[in-house]
Amino acid sequence: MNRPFGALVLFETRLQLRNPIVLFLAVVTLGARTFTSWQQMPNWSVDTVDTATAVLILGAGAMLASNLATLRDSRGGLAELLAPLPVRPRTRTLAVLVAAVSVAVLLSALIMALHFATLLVGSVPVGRFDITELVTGVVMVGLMAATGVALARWVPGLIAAPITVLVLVWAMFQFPGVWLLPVVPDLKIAIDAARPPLWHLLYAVGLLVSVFAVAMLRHGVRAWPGTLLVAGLVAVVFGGVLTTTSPEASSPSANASRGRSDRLVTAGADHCETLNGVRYCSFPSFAAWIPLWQQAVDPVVAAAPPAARTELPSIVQRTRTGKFDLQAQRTVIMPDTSWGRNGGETASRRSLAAQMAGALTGFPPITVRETIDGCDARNQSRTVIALWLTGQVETAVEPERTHSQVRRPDGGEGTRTRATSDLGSVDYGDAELALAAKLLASPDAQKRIWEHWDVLVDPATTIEQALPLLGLTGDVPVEQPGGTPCR
Amino acid sequence: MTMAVDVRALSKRYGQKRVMDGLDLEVRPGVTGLLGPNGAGKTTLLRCLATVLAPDSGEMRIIGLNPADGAQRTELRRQIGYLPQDPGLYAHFTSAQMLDYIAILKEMTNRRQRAEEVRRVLTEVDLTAQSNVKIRKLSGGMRQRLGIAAALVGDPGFIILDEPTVGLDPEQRMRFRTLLSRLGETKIVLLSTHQTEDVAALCERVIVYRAGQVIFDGDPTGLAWQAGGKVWSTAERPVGDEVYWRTTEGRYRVVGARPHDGEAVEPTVEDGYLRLLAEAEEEVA
Repeated sequence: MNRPFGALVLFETRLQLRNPIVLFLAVVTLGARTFTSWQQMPNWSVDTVDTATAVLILGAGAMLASNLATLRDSRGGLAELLAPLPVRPRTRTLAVLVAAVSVAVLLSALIMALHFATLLVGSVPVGRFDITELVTGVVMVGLMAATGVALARWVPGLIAAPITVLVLVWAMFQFPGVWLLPVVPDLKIAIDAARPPLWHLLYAVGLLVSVFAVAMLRHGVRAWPGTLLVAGLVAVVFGGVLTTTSPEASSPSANASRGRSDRLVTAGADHCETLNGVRYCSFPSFAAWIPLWQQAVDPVVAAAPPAARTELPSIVQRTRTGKFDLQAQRTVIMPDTSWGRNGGETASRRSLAAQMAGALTGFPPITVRETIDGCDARNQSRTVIALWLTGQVETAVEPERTHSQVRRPDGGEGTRTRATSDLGSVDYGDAELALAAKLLASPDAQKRIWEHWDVLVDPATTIEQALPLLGLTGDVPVEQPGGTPCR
Repeated sequence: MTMAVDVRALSKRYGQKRVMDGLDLEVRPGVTGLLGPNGAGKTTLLRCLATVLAPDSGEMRIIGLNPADGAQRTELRRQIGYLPQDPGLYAHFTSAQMLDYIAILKEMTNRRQRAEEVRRVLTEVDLTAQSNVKIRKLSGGMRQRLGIAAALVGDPGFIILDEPTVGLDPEQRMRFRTLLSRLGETKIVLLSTHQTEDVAALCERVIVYRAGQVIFDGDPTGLAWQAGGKVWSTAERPVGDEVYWRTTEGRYRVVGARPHDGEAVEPTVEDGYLRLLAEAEEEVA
């Protein structure tokens, strides 16, 4: 390598590594990804895409930094000072290109590696790991750095790079399903949705090479930048055409739009196991979570009397959007494609345990709403039993209530309260929680519950009627149901 | 390496205005001052000699190299130190970073040697204490000194300085004169200035440049004697067209025809320069 060029590359690399924009956005990218994913189990199918998307934030910083570095020698009279120096402008441009792209690529790869290291903490990963997705993301960050240099040479002016960043952000949001974008966003309605093939990486590399060549061509048409541009454009066209015409691009998952699908939410949950009398079905790439579900379900089932375990609901995984099979809903519990970790697992375990407890005590499944407003299970003894069953895994918590103003049929105005709890759209009060806690602390609670099970889970049995059966006294006043009582 | 600058029939025009018109010039080692009014073409000449600007016609031979030839021009640029009239320094660099950058662009690839060279030139211009200060925080005089330091990086054989003492305080200007005097012992130093006292103190040779032409080429004493017998001191303000100004003693110094009570005084370089310009104006008129 020409020695002045090498020294210049090192100089520019040190500047890029110390650039406050780059450093700040690198920290923001890593911090944001870590923060948003810390309490979520990793799903490689999603996390690879989300991480490749997130590093585009760093890419924006790399574009701004490389743009400023290149504009340096045309600002404030510096051009006059540098004009009589032996190292020419094209060498300076090439040095900034090499330095900026190298730093952008290395930093983005480092951020990805650090982030994935954090994903492994306390995790049971699922999904399909696609290294190509990550490599393409890194290449795209390098492309953005190269674009900053090209902009500085062809459109010198401080505003060009920020405007370009805004245009790219707009395009990402405006055309989310287009497979020629830097990162094709995840289509969360489909599990293991088809991802762009290897041709997308070729397309990305072609873009990087082309922009690199365009930046250098500003200093005159020469053999190697011209050749590089031709090669880059060939790769762009080839890779782009093969990407958009690939089987993956025309697959149903790629064409399904967000929020609308004719597929059942459980379609594809074909990996099934029966463990301790409970049938678990997950999407094939999520099978590693079945033991986690079992850990949240087994204690609840074991705490119910044997007679209540004869018809246990199945645990069938679902996606977050799609159609529900109304016939099947009452016989299945449907955990979705997320699970917590690092403290977040408490809510996941509690939710699944409560759904099984609700099924055992006759509550409607969480995915069914008896009425638009849900139902009110206050002053029902089965509510206490359901919360006690839930407490075998995690302590039950208060429902969340939202209030809204509505117009009554008589024309007047009223307030509608909607409760959401781990039992579904089921409301309950402090008395129920307090009694469940007492039961959990009582050594003979299970014996009493098993002895009077049928009475206790009857929707018509009130708490007052249940207290002597449970051997408890009620210290907290029992509220009467405010809405439609749960049947 | 031939330590000389030879210019033959150099011409340059901007639109209808000729800023260099068949200029012939020779410069040898030593400090040569270039004096002239604004718009005379001094900066254009310096830019051509620095290979920043190509002339329209004519030949140049600088340190034995022809700047019209690509390969020789690159070699020549390794030997030139150039301070432009408005040295654009990157405000977000520190002084040391700026000089390090210049050193790399002058093909100094060894990092340790570059660091030593940066220290050396910063010491020359008394900016060692500001080596890690951002340029945007430097005063105007400090920036000017940094620009001079940039021109000295690499120990060039031909140093071109356009208005180098602008913004320097008297002490700094004295220090700068000492530096240039030392450099002039072995190098070709060409400086453009409006400061006739700098020319008088430091230049062995003065070229007065006007409207693209050399109207004087000689030593400072010779320039001063262009006004020989034409410089007067008088108590009353002159009433004619002569050039005059009020001195600190409260008298008037007149360059031109003798006022009625004028006493002859010894001419200075400035007197000679003003007289020369006045005569050139009269000829044109």
